[in-house]
Amino acid sequence: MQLRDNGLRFSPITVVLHWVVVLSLLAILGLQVMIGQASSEAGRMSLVHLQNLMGLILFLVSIYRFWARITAYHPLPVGTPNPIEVIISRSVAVALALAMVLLPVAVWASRSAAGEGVGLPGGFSIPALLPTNAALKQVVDVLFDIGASAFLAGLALHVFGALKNHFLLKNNTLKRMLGKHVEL
Amino acid sequence: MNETRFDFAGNAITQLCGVKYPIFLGGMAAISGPPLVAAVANAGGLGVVGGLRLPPLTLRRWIQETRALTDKPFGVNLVPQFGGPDVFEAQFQVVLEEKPRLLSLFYAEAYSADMIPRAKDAGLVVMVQTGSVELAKIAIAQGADIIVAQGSESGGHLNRGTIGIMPLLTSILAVSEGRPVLAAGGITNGDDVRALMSLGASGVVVGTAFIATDESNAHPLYKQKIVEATTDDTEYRTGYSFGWTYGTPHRVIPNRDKWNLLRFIGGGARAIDKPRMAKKLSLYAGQGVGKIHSVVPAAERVAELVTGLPMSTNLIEGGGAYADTGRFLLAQRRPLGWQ
Repeated sequence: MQLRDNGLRFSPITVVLHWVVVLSLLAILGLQVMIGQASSEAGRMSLVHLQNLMGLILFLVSIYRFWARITAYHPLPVGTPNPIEVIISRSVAVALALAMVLLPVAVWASRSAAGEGVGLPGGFSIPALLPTNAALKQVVDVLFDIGASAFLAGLALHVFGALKNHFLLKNNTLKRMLGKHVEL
Repeated sequence: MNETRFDFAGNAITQLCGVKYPIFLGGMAAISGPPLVAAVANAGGLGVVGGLRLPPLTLRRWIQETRALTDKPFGVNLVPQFGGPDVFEAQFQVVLEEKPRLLSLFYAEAYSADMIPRAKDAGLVVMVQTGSVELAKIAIAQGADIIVAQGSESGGHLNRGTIGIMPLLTSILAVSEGRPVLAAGGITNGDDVRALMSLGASGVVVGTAFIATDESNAHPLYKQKIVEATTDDTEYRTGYSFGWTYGTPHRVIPNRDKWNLLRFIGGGARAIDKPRMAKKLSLYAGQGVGKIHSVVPAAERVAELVTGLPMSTNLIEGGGAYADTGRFLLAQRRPLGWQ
């Protein structure tokens, strides 16, 4: 099995982890909605712990993905795209991979600074990253908000690019990320 | 019917590559496409397909399209700078299968020790473009058939491009061990060809002058910029250029628009690109750009360059094939070593 990406194709690991990240993000967002609607404190805490677990998985996977992204070649673009679009799309993809490492750290730091533990299912917890400090939490939260806004803007561009390639340009860019072998 | 004809007698390069004139088209990425390569080949020069950035399937298609346009020899230029070693190897496999006459390599020192023998075993002539004596020595040790001395006057990418063509050419000739050496950099007309042939070059490689041709794949605005630019207008850079490692030296016509961030990117603009690419990028061009005043058919550009080749006067019966003529005339010449 091809373990790393190269200029001709994605590794199956890259394809699987890409969709693991997508599902983790959707799960975290879905859990956030459920936490807001939880009827009991016990139920809310179990959902928070599950959300923390998803965040931890996302964080660990993202560390690998970011390392793999910057240390391996990337498959050539499909078709004959505008070079500037290639530069932008690749920069956005790298920035998203980096954001998914940094944003969980920011959440971890924020909760630590607020004196909240990061509990996990089964009674486990992640140790605090920072001492309790309200001023520090405020700074971390501002940084998180900036990072999250940039992340969402980048994600919107990323999704737009994928849909544009699939529906407008009708090429195999999206199918390639779904595991289809595309001969270049 | 007998006629008196003035023509180039041929030399080691024309014999090695099977062409009429030692006038080579630079293998410019995306610009040197099938129409331009075929036009140069049909005019008696050697067209070189710009293989950089071409996925293997597209490279194969371009080679086949070129074959459909000419029955003359042509080459393919490969550069392992885009997509990594796997893409480079896949492109190389295409070249081995399609067997153009010549494989041109640039920035490929790390791969050439393996690739040059494989290419030669497949019957290809291998040419390596170098910008220093050290790189030329490496290419010779790795078995290159032809060395290109790429002077700092050249447009596009350079390796490393800090030595002018006159000292570089003579220095590489001194270590070439009898291999033919082509000159590249700032060559746009017959006078340039004459000057460099007189210094010992066996031929020339021309890029910028062929961008401004009807058959080139360049965007019309790119061609227009080449025509309008003066000799003072190019700049040597080591910043970012599309698809290349940051810091790779290149020569461009710099874009001076203050609020245009794309001006920091070196690139070429293809006919299929939007006009803003040509308007906003800093476009590749060599120092000979000030001597290019119009967009002409590639055959006309070749004919102009050919005027700088040493001509022989001969009485030729009928109009035999140029290869036969070249060999016949060559036999009459005193061997000159480098020719």
